[in-house]
Amino acid sequence: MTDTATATATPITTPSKRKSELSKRFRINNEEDRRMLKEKIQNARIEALENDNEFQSIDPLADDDADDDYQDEEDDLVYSTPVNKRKRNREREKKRFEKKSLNISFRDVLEKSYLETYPENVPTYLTATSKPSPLPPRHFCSICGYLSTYTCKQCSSKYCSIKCFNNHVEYRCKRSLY
Amino acid sequence: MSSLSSSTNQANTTFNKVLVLDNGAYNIKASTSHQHLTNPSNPYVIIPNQVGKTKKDNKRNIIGSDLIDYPDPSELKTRTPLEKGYITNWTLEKEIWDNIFKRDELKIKPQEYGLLLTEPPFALEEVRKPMYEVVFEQYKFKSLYLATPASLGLIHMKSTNNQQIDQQQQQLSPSYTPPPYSQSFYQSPCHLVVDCGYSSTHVIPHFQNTKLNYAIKRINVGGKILTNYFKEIVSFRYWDMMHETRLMNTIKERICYISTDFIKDIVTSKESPSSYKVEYVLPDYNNLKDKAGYIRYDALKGGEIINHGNNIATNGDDKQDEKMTDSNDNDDNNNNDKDSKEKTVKQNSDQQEEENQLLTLVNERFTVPELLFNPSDIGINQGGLAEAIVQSVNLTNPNLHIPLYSNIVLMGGSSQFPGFKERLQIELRKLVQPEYEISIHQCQEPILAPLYGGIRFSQLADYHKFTVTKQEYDEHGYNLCNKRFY
Repeated sequence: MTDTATATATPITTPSKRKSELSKRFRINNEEDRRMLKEKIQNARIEALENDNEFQSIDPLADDDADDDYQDEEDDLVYSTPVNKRKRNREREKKRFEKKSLNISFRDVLEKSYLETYPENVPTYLTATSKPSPLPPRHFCSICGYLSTYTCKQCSSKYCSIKCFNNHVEYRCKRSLY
Repeated sequence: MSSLSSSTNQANTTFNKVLVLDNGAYNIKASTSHQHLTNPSNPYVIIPNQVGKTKKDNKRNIIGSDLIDYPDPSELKTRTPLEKGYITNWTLEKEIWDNIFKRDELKIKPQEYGLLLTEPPFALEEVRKPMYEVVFEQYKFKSLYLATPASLGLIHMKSTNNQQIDQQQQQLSPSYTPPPYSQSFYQSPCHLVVDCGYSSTHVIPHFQNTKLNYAIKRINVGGKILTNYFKEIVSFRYWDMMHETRLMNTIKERICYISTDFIKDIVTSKESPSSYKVEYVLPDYNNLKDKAGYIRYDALKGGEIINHGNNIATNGDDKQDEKMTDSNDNDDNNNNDKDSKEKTVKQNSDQQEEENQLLTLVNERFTVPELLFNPSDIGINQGGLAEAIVQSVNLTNPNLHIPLYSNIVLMGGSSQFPGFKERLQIELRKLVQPEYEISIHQCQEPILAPLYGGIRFSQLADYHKFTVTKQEYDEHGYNLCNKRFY
């Protein structure tokens, strides 16, 4: 309080100092890490939107196999001779092998085909994506969907009014992550 | 392709026995080409490319028309065999194909037929390997041809003119209808096809019906993302609809439109939401009659959709809006609408209306399809449709720029949003040099065009030159296939 005069005399330096500092209340203080986490959350959301199967289990083979086992058990109850069992086991293994070769995961295949190593003039799945727009992205209120002007200090998502902000804090704010 | 009309005449005597499968991510469309040409009244099968299961009956798979007619869709757990438009789960896909082959409309044995299958561009080798295995070793199809749906659709659109040439003598008669697209469209060798499908949007330049691989551009926004985004918004703001993908898809098709002036619309819709508001009555699954719900009509206004009158003043797409609802509603739904209208007028009971679950939508109507033009709105780091078109054209030879811009073709289910063409015209005009003419043609059968084009293509006299036969596959393996279907 003693040097109010100096504070008024150097107004340009103080805001710049403030900008670079992050509050110590955040779990992640490093700016780089925060950016990474933000990107990660964003990507997870896009992936969820692009998801083809809403009921898909993590392992694409898992529930099909479970079905088959169930079916086999039931078959065993009806005719249970040891010879048949051996035969059936072989068939079952064959089926399972077939499934593994026929059912693939697109992401795995994309990773394994190493399209990044292709020369630049060869068109591939990756080069065919349209390049990002030179225009800056527009911002919409994460609650009501109209144009927004304000940013949440905690989780940097957008809001347009106090009403939406209160809603955001109550339901959507991801500050616990940061 | 210039010999198209003459070659089909030749083919009339001996049909190529080919099964055409348009393997879309939402619906799968199938037809046998010779059946279609002999009996066009019952030409195709169209069923969802999904397999449903219920909690109660975990073993049985529900496929095809059973899936559409299932009494309680909220119980169903559906899975699709495709990922990003490419078939990855062949155990599911085979069940759906089996169902198609057995159906009354087709009833075919795969061993006796050739197969024409659609596939998005740039399929990876690992994705194709199991496909060859299933097609040749398990179903034992006679031959295989892989095509991009956009190229087939283009063949169909071009063929609409050829049919007219056959009927040149009838031109003088009063019943003569001119070809649906302009003459320059038929004459130009260059076409830029925009295929706005369910899993992604492709911009594919064509030169003389051959796609130019080096200039293809893709945006990862299709009907699927729009539906999922719509679902997410509605679930957060109004009702929980996270497990009602099919219902949300139909609501999206009926209600959403593309705004020609987005910023103006979103500002005015905040100030006066009434002119943009639509009330949608959600279906009640206890009442089996009505499964998709309907747009609520205001009884006081004499059965008009509430927003329509005002929408005319703000947007110019009222006509198309009507067209869209007309085309998408089945006759049954229209009847339902009428029934419900009569009910409300006759009984005049507010109680019944209160019982119905209402979904009130305002800005969702145009912010959802807006993603096609601005994927960055939800953080997808890709350019919008207009930018993708410009990027694609710039990759081609400079001599092709003018004909490509003047022959843009819109195709695929998501291109049916009202206002799509107008918006694209406006956006492109901002980006393209003023001396280039831009003209956009909207395909008249955006969903079925690839199927019809495939049928036409498979009846060419030299169709067998393009295919890989089972014998060739047995001898040379999949390397030959990859060479032929680049």
